Amino acid sequence: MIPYLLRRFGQAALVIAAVGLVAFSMFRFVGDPVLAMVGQDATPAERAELRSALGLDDPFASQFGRFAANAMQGDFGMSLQHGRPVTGLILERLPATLELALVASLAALAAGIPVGVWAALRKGSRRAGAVLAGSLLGVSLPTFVIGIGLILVFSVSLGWLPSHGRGQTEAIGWWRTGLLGIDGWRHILLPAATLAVFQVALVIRLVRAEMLEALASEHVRFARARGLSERRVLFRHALPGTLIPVVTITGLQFGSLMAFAIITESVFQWPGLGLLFLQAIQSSDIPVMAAYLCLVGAMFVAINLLVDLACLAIDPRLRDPRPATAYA
Amino acid sequence: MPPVATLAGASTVLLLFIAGAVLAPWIAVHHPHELASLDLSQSLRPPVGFAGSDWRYPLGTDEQGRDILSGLLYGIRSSLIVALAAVGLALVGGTAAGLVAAGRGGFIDAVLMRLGDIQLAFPAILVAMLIDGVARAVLPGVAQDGRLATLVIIIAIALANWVAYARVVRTAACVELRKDYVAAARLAGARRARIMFAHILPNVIGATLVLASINFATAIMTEATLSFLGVGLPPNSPSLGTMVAIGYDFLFSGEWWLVVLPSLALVALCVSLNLLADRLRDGLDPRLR
Amino acid sequence: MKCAGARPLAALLLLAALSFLPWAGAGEAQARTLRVADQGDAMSMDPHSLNDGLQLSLTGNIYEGLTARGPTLELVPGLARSWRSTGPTTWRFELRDEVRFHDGAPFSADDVVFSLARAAAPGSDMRAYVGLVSRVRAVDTLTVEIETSQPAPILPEMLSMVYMMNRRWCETHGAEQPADKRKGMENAASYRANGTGPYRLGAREPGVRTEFERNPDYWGTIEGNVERVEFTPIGNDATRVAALISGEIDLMQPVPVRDIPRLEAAPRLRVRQGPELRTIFLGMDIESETLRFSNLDDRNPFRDRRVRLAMYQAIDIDAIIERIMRGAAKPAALLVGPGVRGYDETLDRRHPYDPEAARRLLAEAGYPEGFEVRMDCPNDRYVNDAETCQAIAAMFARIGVRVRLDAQTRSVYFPKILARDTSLFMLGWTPATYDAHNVLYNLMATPDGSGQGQFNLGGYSNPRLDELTRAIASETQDDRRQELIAQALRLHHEEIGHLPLHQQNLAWGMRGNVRMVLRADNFNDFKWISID
Repeated sequence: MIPYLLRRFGQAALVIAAVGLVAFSMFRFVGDPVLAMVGQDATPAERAELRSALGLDDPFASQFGRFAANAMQGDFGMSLQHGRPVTGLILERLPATLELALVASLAALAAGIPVGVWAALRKGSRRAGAVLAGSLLGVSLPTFVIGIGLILVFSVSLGWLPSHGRGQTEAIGWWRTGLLGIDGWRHILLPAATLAVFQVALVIRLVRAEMLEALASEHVRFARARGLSERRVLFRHALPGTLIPVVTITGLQFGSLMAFAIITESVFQWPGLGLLFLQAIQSSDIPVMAAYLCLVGAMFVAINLLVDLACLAIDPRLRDPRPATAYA
Repeated sequence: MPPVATLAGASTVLLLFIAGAVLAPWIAVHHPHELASLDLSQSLRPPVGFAGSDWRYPLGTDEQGRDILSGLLYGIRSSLIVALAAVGLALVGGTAAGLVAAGRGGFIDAVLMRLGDIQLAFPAILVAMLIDGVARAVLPGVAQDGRLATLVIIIAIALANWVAYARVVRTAACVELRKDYVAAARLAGARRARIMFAHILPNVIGATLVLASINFATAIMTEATLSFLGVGLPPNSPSLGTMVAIGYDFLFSGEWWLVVLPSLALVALCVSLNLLADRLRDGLDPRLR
Repeated sequence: MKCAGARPLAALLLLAALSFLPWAGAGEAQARTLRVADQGDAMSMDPHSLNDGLQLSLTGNIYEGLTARGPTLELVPGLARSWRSTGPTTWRFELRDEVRFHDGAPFSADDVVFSLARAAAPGSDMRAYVGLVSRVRAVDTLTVEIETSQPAPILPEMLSMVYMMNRRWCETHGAEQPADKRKGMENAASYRANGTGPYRLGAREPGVRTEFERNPDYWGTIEGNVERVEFTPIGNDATRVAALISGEIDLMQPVPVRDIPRLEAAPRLRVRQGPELRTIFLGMDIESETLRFSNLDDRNPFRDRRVRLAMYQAIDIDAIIERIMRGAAKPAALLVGPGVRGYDETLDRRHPYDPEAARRLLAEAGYPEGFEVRMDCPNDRYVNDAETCQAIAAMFARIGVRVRLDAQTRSVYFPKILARDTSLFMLGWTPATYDAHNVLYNLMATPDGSGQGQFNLGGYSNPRLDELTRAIASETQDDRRQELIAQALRLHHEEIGHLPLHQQNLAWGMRGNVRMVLRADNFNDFKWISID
C-alpha cells in the first residue's frame, strides 16, 4: 500500500507542478509585464530599472521558484483589468461558485439516484428506455442552450424565477452567501439546474449500471433467499454498494463542473470564479488566468487524491489501480 | 440502441444541414456580415407567420437587418469547417503521437503519456479556453480578425482533444507490434517508420474513427460555446454561438426569434450528430461501449 | 467511513429549513437606504482625476464647488454665497460661513486657492475648467479673488464642477496632486474622501460597491430622506434590468431602450425619460498626412471636405434613431444640443441623407473604389453605442468606405482615443458649463497642449474658429456673444469638422416609491431623492 500511496502523491505533485509551470509561463512570457505596470510614458531607463527590480533578468529557475513561493502563499500579483490584488478578487468570487457547484451536485444526486434506481428496476420497459434516451439528450445539449431555455420558460414566460445575479446575499465574515434567504435560493435554482443537467445524465446511467450489477450479485440474492422484503433488499443491501462509485465519479467530475460553471455563470451573470476567468480571457488579464488555473488545478488534484484515498480506505480491492472509466 | 426511426431522422437533419452549409453562398439572401448588403429598414422582422414578416427573410431579421436564415446557413458552415479541421488535426496529431510513443517506447513514450495524463485531468473546454486566452494575449488581432480567430480556435480545440487519439493508437499499436507479422517484416529488413505506416496504421484507424465521430459533435459544441462566451469567433464572423449570444439580449423584449432559432439549429445539429456517433460507435466497435 | 448518499440529503433538507427562518435577509430594502446601480463605476473618488460624468456625479455628492446647479440646471450658489465681477479680469467670491469638511476642519479661502491649483496641476483632467484662471488669492478667510488671463464672463459656470478639497487633509494623506489615471497612478484621494457635501464616503471597493452616508452636519438642506446609498456598477444590461425587477436595487440607469416598454408595464416600477444634453458624434483624423489605420499609405481622405461630406451624407440618422434607438433620441446637426446656452435651432439642420451624392463626392475626390479604414467605438459607454457604430459601418460600406469596426470596453477604448490612436471614432460630449463655448473650446478649437482642444481628437483646425472661440470667451454682451457662437457653429457645420449623430434620451428605471430629480446632464444628486 505504501508504494501505491507514494505513487499517488507523486502523480498529484507532478500535476500541480506542471500546472504551476504553465501558469508561470503565461505570466512571464505572454505580454510585457513591465509595459503593463508602467505605461507608455516611461523612459527606457525607467523600464530597465523596473525589469531588474522585478527580477525579470534572473534565470528562469529562480523566477519560477519565486513565483511558486508567492503562489503558495496566495500571492498572484495584481489583476490587469481591475487594478486590485488577484487573491482578493478570487476570495470574493469563490463563495458564489462553490455554492453553485454544491447545490448543483446535490441536486444532480438527489434527482439522478432515484431515477437511476427506478430505471434499473424497470429495466427493459419503454419508459425506462425513454428516460435513458432523455439522458442522452441532456448530454448532447450545450450548457448555454439549456440555461437560456430554462430562462425562457421559467423567467420570461412564466415569470416564476429570476434570471440574473445572486439576489440578496448575507455576509458571514468574508463569505457572502445567498443560501440564507429565500431570494438567494430563488436566484440559485435555475443556474444550479443548468449546471446539474450534465451530471444528472451521468448519474442516472451510472446508478442504473451499478444497480443492475448489484441486483445480480451474490449477496443480494442471498438476502432475497433469506426472505427479506424487497424494499429491505433494495435499500440495505443493493443501494449502499452502488453509491460509492456514484459519489466517487461525481467528485471526479469536479473539473467538468468548473468548466461548465464558467458557461452557466456567463448565462446567468452569476458573479463567481467562472465569470471572473471569462472576463480575464476577454481582456487578456494574465494574472487572473494564471491564478484561476492554479486554483482549479490544485482543487482538482486535491479532490482526486481525497476520493482515491477515501475509497482506498473503504475498499481494499481498489488498491490495484483501475483504469479510469471513460464516461463524460 | 436508438430505434431506426430516430436514426433516419438524425441522418436527414444532418444531411439537410450539410447541404445548407455547402450551398450557403448560393441560397442565402446575403452574407450576414457583408456590410454593404445590410438594410437597416428591414431590422427586427419576425419569422414568417407573424405580423410584420417578409417572405424574403423567412426566419426574420435581427437588429441590424441581417437575415436569420442566412446567418444560420453560414453559421453551420463555420461550425462544420471548424469542427472538421479541428478533429482532423487532433486525429492526425494524436495518431502520430501515439505511433511515436508506441514505436520509440522508453523516455519519449513516458513523457508523451504523462503529458497526456496531466492534460486529461482538465476538461477539454477549459483547455481550449486557456489556449484561446493565451493566443488572444499574444496576438491582439485575434479579437477582430475572422481568419486568425478561426485558426486559433481550430488549434485550440485540436490541442484540447489529441490525447484520447494518442492513447487509443498507442494501445492498439503496442498490441500490433507484438504480433508475428511485424516481427516478420523486421526480419525482412523493413524500416521502423515503414512498418508503422504500412502495417500498424491501417489496423488502428478503426478505433480512431469512432473517437473522431464523437469528437466531431463535441467540437461543434465547443466552438459554439466559445463563440457564445465571446472568446471564439469574433462578432463579425458568422457563428451559431455568436448569434445566440447577441440574440440573448433580446429574449426579454419580445424578439424571441433572435435567440430561439439559432439555439434550435444548434440543438438539432448536436443531437443528430450525437445520435449518429452513438450508433457508429455501437456498430464499429462494440467493445468500447 | 461510509460514502453514503443519505448524508448529503439530510444536510440539504436542514439547509432548506434554515432558509425559511424569519431572520433571513428580506427582499425589500430598508427604508431610507437607496440601492442605486449604473452601467459603470467611477474610476476614482478623486474629484479632479477624470472628467467623466459618472465620476463627477458621484463625487459631487461628497464634494462641492463654489457654484452649483439647481434642479433645472440653473446656476446657484454653492460654497460661495455670492460673487461678482470686480474688473474686466477679476472676480470676487464671498464664501459661506461655518462650512466644515467631513473631518471637522473648517472650509476657508485657503482651501479654494489649494483646490484650484490642484485642478490645474498636470495630472488633473479638469484643467480646461480652470484654464483661464491666472491667479487665485485669499483676501481673507472667507473671500477669494480670482484673476483670469482674459475676460471670462462665464467663470462661475466653469467653476461649478471644480470641487473643493481641504489642503491639510490632502497634504496629510499625500494627495496634493491629482491621481493621473492615464498613467495608472493612484493616491489616498482615490479611495477616501473628505468633502463638504451632503453625503460622506463610506466603503469604497472599486468595481464592486461604493457606500455613502448622510452627513448630519451638512451646512445646507437635504430635501430628500435617504440616509444611506449603496452604489453598485452592473455592466451587463440584462442583469441590471433583472436586478431592478427583482427588487435587488431601487434605482438604475441606463435602461436599455428595448427594455423600456417592459419596465413601464411592470406594476411596481417606473421609467423616467428625458432629453440629455449629451451629443453623440463621430470624429475623423483630419490632421495626419496619411490616414493611419487604413489601406492607404500615402494620403488621408479625411482631409478633403468632399470625403467628409460624403461620409456625413451616407448616414441615415433617422433610420438609426427609429431602429436602433427606438425613437429615444433626437437627430443632431450641431455638437451643441437644445438646452445648452448658444444653441440655435435655425442652425440645427443636417446635411441631407443622400448615398448617391456621397458616392459621387467620393469619386470626385479621387476615391472611386472607396477605401478601408478602422472605426473605433466603445461598447459600454453610451446608449447602444456599438450597435449604432455597426449600423453606420454598414451605411459607410454601401458608399464604398469599408469599415473594420473595433468595439471595445471603455477602460481600453478611452485611453486609446485620448492618445489619438485612431482614424475614426465615436465620442459623446456634455458641456459641463451648459454653454457652447465649452464645446468650441474642447472639441473644435485647435489643440495647443494647454487645455484648448484637449478633446479635439481628430485635430480639426480652423484659425478663424479659434479666433471666434477666444472672442466668445471674453464677450460680455449676450446678443453679440450669441452671434459669435452662431458664426463659429456655422463654420464648423460647413467645413464638417465632425459627423454629429444625435442626442440620446436619458432613461432611469426605479421602484414606484422612489422620487428623484432628473437632471439633463444626467448627474444624480442623492440629496434630492426620497423613498416613500
